Amino acid sequence: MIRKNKIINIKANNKAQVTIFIIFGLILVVLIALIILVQKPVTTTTKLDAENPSQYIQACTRDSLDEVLDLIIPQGGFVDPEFYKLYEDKRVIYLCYINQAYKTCVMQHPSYINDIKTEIKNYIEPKVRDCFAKLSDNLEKKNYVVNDNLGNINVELGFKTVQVNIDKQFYISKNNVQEKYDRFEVKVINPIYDLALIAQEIANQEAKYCNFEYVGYMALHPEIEIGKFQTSDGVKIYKIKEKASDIQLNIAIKSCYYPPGLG
Amino acid sequence: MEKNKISNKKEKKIISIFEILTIIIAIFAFAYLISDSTKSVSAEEVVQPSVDESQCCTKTKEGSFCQNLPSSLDEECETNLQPLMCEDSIDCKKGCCTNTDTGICALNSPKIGCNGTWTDDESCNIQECVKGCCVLNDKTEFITEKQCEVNSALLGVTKDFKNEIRDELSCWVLAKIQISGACVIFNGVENTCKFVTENDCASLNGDFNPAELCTNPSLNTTCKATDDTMCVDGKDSVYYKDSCGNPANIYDSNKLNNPDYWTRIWNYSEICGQGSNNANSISCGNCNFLAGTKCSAKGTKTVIEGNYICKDLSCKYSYRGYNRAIKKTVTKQNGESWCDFDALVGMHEGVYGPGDPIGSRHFKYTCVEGEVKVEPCADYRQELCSETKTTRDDGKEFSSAVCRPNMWRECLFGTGCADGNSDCHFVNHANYYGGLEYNWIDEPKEARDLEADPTPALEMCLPSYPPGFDLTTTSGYSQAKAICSMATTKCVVTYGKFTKKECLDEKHKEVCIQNCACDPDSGYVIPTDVAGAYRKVYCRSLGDCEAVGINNVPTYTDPERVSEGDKVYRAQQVVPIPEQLIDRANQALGLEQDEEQNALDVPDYEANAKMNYLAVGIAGVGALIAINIVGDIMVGASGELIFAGGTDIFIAETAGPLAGFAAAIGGAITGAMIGKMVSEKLGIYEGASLDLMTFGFAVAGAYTGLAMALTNFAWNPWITGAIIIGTIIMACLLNEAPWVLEETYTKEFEYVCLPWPGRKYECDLCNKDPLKPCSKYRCDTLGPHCELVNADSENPICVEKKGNDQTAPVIRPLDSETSNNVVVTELTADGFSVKDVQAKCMPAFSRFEIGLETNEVAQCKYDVFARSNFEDMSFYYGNDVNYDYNHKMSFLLPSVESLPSKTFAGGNFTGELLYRIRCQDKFGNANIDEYKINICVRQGEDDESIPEILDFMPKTGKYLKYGVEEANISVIVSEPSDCRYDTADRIYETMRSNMTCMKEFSGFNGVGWACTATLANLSLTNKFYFRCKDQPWLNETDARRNAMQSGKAYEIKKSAGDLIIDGLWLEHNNIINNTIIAGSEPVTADLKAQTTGGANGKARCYFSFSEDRSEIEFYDTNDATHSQIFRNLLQGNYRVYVNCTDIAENNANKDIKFKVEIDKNGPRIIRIYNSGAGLYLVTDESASCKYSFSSDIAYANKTAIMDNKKEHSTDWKPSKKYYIECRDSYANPGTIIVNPYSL
Repeated sequence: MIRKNKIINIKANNKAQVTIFIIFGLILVVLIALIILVQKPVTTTTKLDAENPSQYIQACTRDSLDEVLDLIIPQGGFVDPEFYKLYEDKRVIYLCYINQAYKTCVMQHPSYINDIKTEIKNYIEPKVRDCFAKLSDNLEKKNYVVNDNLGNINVELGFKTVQVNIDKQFYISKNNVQEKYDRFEVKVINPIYDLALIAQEIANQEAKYCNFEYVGYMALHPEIEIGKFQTSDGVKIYKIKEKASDIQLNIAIKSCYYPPGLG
Repeated sequence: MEKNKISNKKEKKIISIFEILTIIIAIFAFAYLISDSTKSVSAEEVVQPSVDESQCCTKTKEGSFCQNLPSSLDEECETNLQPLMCEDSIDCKKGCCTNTDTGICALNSPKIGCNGTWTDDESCNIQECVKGCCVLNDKTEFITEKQCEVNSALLGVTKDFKNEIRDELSCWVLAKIQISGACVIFNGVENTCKFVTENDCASLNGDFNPAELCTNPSLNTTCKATDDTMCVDGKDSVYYKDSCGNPANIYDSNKLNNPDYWTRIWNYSEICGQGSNNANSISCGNCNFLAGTKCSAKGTKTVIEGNYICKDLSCKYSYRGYNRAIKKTVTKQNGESWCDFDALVGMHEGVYGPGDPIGSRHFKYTCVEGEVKVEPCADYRQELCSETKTTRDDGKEFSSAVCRPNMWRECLFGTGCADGNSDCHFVNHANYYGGLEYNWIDEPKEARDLEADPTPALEMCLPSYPPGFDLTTTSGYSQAKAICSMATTKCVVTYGKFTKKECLDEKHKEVCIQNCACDPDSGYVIPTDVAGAYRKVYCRSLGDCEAVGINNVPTYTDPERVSEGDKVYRAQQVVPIPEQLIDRANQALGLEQDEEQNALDVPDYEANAKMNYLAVGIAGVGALIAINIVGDIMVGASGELIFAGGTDIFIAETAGPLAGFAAAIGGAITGAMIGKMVSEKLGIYEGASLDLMTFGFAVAGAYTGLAMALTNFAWNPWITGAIIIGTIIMACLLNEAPWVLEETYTKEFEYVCLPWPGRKYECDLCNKDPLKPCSKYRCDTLGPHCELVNADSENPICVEKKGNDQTAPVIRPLDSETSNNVVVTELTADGFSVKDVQAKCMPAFSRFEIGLETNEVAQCKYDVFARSNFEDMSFYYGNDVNYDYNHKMSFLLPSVESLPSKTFAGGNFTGELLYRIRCQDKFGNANIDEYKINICVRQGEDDESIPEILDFMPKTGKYLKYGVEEANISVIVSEPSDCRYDTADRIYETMRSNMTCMKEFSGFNGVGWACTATLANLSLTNKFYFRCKDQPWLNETDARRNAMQSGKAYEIKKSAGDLIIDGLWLEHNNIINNTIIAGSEPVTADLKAQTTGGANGKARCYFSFSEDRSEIEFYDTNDATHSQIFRNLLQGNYRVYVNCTDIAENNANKDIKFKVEIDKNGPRIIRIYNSGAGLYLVTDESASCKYSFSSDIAYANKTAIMDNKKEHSTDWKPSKKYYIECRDSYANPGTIIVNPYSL
């Protein structure tokens, strides 16, 4: 009986030891977790996904693309317009301009669509490279080996779309497993191309006829709304809006200006 | 006869001599007139626009390209000024820039900025820029062929360019007639359908059924008729929608249940509402954009079926006519444009003179889908609004307006009048009324009824629409001054000093003898100030000019006598000038008779009258003498009768009654004559005095004559002597000595026309009408104390300049911006209280807006604590930092119970709120004493507001992912509440499920307060009802709590199955077993995917070329079919991973492997032989073969061999050496040489 009790006691002691071990183990796990949490600052800016580099690059590029489009469209397609008219606190690019009275304007951006592409490219290129740099840093922290080259970034404008093609060799490897990325594509829905085509047509007609008959144009293109604002110094601000998205491209034109007095 | 001939010859000779003399005289006369008009009465100098002496600047420092700059401004040029005009510069010459990538042409482009092809044709009249109609699926674009090619490629459709269509309207019409139809797509299980164009259907690999609807039973599709409606992108009307989401026929509630209406597209003539635009029709959705309606959400309107309606796009426009007190409202159609003005515009000859008052502007208005848009024409009236009206087919008038340049310069400096320019008018008479010289802001003055000026001195071509001037700059003012001065005229008036010697006296006079109308004191009759008015018109027509003293004193002034100008209006008697005096004067001036008549312009009726009197007098004296002599004769001869008359002679040998009567008449006549003469000598010419004098002398003469006759007065020497002396005196008196011009002198008068001097008006007058926005020019004309702010915005405001304004804005409530559920009470100068419409405290959690108005533009701030000044106040009213007249802020009121801490807006809250307001104008003036808004909030038992569910998260109608059995949802409530839900709509207390709610005021999430719950045990389609009860801090059974009286429905669905990609394939014109064979790189192919299942069959699909690479959205997706064109495929193996997701987040993956092979090998000639005269070849693939007899002949120049796929034949000439080359369909070559006699 005594022995049995002893045995029982031994068993009970064993259970207690296990319990103590479990408790210590849990405390240890909690402490380690706390240390990790304390040491690792919480950040909302890092969205790096080492397992899906292309998704990260796409999201990162799309952010900068959205940013530049939001910036340039109200200004006529340019990030930092050099020659502009201030309108509603926006620097609106002169698409066609003449400083002399009575004369038709001179096109200031004869390759307007290409100029817009260049503006977008110039703006996003360093940001995209920064995206890659951050991605590389993050991957290297995770013991990936990253090999990449400078690559080439190309912007394409199309109907209601802006597409960025990044032709870049981006190779990552870990544990003798290598992944290769040669091309990244990002496409956003945006009417800048459609609006810029209308802007070019307005500039052409202003250059030829000193006027653009926007009322008639709107009758044939009900999806577009065009507004015109004329300042006292003869500058015409054309506001070209895609009704569906409410996105509005502004351009300034000074053509056939008739000054007060003798000019 | 002969005599007549001679007489005729003489007459002709006389006429000829007269004509020659006339011509000679006319030469001098015209020369005189011209010299007269140019020297004396024309403008001092003619102003001409400055001559441009500019040079070309390739790029200016401000950033513009290719601008001509005056050489004096070379520092403004970033590059060096080129010593030529830009038009002559290689870099800056305007041409056509064609972008080779996009096909876009830019006119007037300098070469330096052109990255494409530059052509020396600034109008782009080149083939590359010719526009045609590009068909892009169901739409068309009027663009160049290259643009069409690019855009077609972007959309993945075949280029369809119709260059025979050369105008945009025809191209637009073409889009309207693109036929759509039912595109039936078999997905392996059933027939789905899309209503698209044939092109689109082809890309979907569907079976196209033109003009048929997807609901046609014979097509056996899954699409069924519904009573729902929809708008279709690019179409005007409201369409029925089938169960697949496709449009069907135009909405016609009478045909909903007509099976045939769901089988085919009905002809337009069969559709409801013919001949009408069906605005707001409840039963017919046949809208017509061009007739003024368009498919739109019905909003608050009612329709029998669906949620869309033909929205009326017309506009109401209110305007004031010339009499601006009367306001009229007109209806304008969508797309219609029209003009409106500040006042009467243009020249109104004979009515008001020139319109377009100073500061006025022309405005063009447009009706755009129910909204009136304003387009001010160029300021300073450099543009005019011109409107034309046409009658449409429906009989309604349709107006079109345009802002066009005001060609006023052509009138003054060009040949406007000679060319018949409608902007000019030639002034050659003075039948004007003075014009509108008031400012545009004034009410028009009444026109004066003036008579015509007989001799206007000015003749000129003038603008009909006077331009405005910028008088705020030095150069602008000096230019304006130069233009106005064209109406400043100098007039030299010539006067003569005349002398007349009389019997006993010598008289002197000074009389105006030339340009007398210029002298207001000349004594010439000027009925009214016609000349002045005429000059006023002239002055105003030139622009923003004003005749000096135009309102109060006459305009026609002598520099030395400006203050005496009012004499101009005084009508004076004409000094009588004998006719012969005019001759003298003319002779003295050395003028010809005709010219003198004009120059003197003396009315002659009074001279004639004087001659009549003289004749009567002489006749009377003559009669007396004659009677005397006759009397003597008669007495001597018969002694019977003696006639006598006069004042001093009357003899009657034999007196009798007849003799006495005759003597009395003679005496009366002579007396009247003498009386008249004496009167005139005394300076009496007309009126009662003259009549009395004449009558008195006549009575005296008659009495004397009668007395002499009756007394048988004896003839004696004394009497005879007295008669002689009297006669001499009379002769002396009667003999008018001529006026002799002794000398002449001149005076110069000047009429001054200057720029508008400006008067002080209230600056705010410029801001009153949003449809006539203020501008710099308009603000400037209200006075120098005004200035424009927000000039570079759509809402410029004219305000008083700093320094003038030292007063704080006055604040008052603004009803128009205050919500209807509140009223303003206890209004004082220092603030007001806000109550509900029953004048009670506001219910807790009520939302409303309070508008404030300031009497000048200002920004406003508020605080709930007392602050000492504007800067220290914490918040901008309505969070608006802009300066404006109107200010608005939203309020949401808590209840005391909903605030555990009992604080609100930083202060203790007991149900009373005090908002302290200060507003500051642009010049830093703010109200020192706070303007206060008191708001009280009902507490506890007073809270009668019923909570309202504002929104659901996720929205009602949500699909759940396949396999998900529960859903977490939130309802947003208008005030803190407890909420419950159930599957049936029950009263709140009996609803079976509770929600977890935010019960404190601080739980406000920007929209309302959220309650959450998990919906479980869901079926495929589920409907729940939600109700809430407010004041959750009270007991459940507390009677003060308010519960919703009806439940808010919520629907949620489960996905019936998982999403499946049941088709993934590649399309190419040469693809076999997923291997594409092409002749060259890169290769274009179309990836297609088909999805089924999931929430509703629709999904968004993405692709990548690697399993873990970024996914790119298909170009055409969000449907059951998805497509993506690959344009840059190179030779190699590919694997494309496709991932699709639907709205329920069901996900499906699939991949496809394919191979691209490039055929770079030419055809091999596997057999060659001759047969008779023929050479025969056999190749291992289809090819085209050619031959030559020389090795150096290019393939294109070789002789063709007759081909039949792999077999080829031609003539065989055994002696010749054949160099044969065969090419396959990818132009890969294969060659063989056949030597002579080798076969």
